[in-house]
Amino acid sequence: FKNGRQKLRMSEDDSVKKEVWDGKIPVCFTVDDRELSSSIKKTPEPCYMLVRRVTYFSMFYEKLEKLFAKETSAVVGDEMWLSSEEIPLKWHYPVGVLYDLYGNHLPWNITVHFKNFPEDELLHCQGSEPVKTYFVSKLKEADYLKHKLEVFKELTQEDTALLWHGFLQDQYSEFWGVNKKFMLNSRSVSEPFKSIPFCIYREGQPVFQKLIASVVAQSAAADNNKEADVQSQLQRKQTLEDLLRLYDSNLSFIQESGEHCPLVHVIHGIEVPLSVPLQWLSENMSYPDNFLHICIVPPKRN
Amino acid sequence: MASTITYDQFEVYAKGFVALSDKVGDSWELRTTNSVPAVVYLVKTVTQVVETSDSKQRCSEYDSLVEEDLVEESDDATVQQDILQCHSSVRLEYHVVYSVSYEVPTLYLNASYTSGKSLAMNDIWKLIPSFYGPPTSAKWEILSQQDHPILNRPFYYIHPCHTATALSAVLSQPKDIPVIGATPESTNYILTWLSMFGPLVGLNLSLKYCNTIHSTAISK
Repeated sequence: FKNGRQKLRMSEDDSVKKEVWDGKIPVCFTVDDRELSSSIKKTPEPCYMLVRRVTYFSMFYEKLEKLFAKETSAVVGDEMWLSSEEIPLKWHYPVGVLYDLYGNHLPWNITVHFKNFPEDELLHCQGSEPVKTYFVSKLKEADYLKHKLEVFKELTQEDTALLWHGFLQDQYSEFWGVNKKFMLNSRSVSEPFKSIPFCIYREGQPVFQKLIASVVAQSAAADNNKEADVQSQLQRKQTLEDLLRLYDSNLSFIQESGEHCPLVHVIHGIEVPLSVPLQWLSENMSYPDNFLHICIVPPKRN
Repeated sequence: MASTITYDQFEVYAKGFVALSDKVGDSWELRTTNSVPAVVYLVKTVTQVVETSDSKQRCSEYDSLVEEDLVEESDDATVQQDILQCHSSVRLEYHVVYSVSYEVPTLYLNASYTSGKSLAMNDIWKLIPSFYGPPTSAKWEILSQQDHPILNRPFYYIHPCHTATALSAVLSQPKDIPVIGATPESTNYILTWLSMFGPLVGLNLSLKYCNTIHSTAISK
């Protein structure tokens, strides 16, 4: 019976992982009409796409280029980039993060550009190599934080290929077949991560990162009734609140009016309760790069 | 045992390193952010004449090279062409920023022509001496682009994941790492780190730095 209950809990967690993986946003891509070549008689049709939140826009650049480049004055050597209401979109931020920061309605209207690449704001991304390199470097960073790279070091070339291919081709089982290794330590035993991989995003600010342990020792309140070794084993699981307080100890920001407002945080578009343990969040609600990407957004105006 | 440092240690070493830099006549600066809490990072700017393949830049650069007396103006079209083909004046910015995840310094760099336009990736690679030149596919794993963690705009950088293990081979014993609160002269860490990773991107340390360390060691 106990095993059955454990199995049920396991599959509830798995359904969270699957929902995170499957989350999609409807996007409407339109080419910048200032770039249309003069021979075009009418504006090209926009391209509607259901884009997975966990992916990067640069994974669709080739497709968008094929659709739109010929309608514009783009030439070989021009580099494509995207914007949402004049704001250039950083392709190395996951789609879900960009939507939570900048998306205002659905479908999300995104403009496709081929000219005037804003090199002061956007990383270059020519070909598929930069995305894959970036993704693998985030996986490495996450495993360095969790396991000092001990698990990543043991991966074979085939493992890395399966991770990338599974991620790229929307193959959940293929991806998690390898990704589950990152949830355990190098001896394949379940153990709290040394540090929780996370990034906090806020409009106009650099990405915020700090070290935070999964568990901390219970404050050693003197309790003469307990054995010393029992006390030292008391550990507290850190929560989302502990993490957000690293970012802002008051969990609030000051509006222009001078009013204090609570910070609004979202992960995959959801305001996750502050009491959720970081270990659980990290295992079940991370992006495929094994990072928790958290957005701080303005409170909704009523 | 990997040789990582805390941010507070980084700040001590950074300040000490700038003091050393001033002593030897190098031009490293310490910059501090306006954030709360403030963080520091190191910056060095260098103007260099490098090879370039960008033809548009060559034309405007030729004029500024003549102005700066770096080349003689010539009416000979062949001479002009030769000069244009090879060299441009480039502004290189090197930043040393603390990596929160890896707990080591990270080297960031940007290169731009005097017009302000950034150098293409291939031209950045030409800064690297052929001795260190990696095979074509590996170059993405060593040097690539990332947002500068403080300035939040694109820079090229050397992946810090190799730093800690590489350094532990050099700093063989823990006592080689100065403890916090040590004098500003004990900057072995940043100096050692920079001497290892700087050359990868054309940044070489003056031999004068060795003399300052030795004289400090002797005077202790």
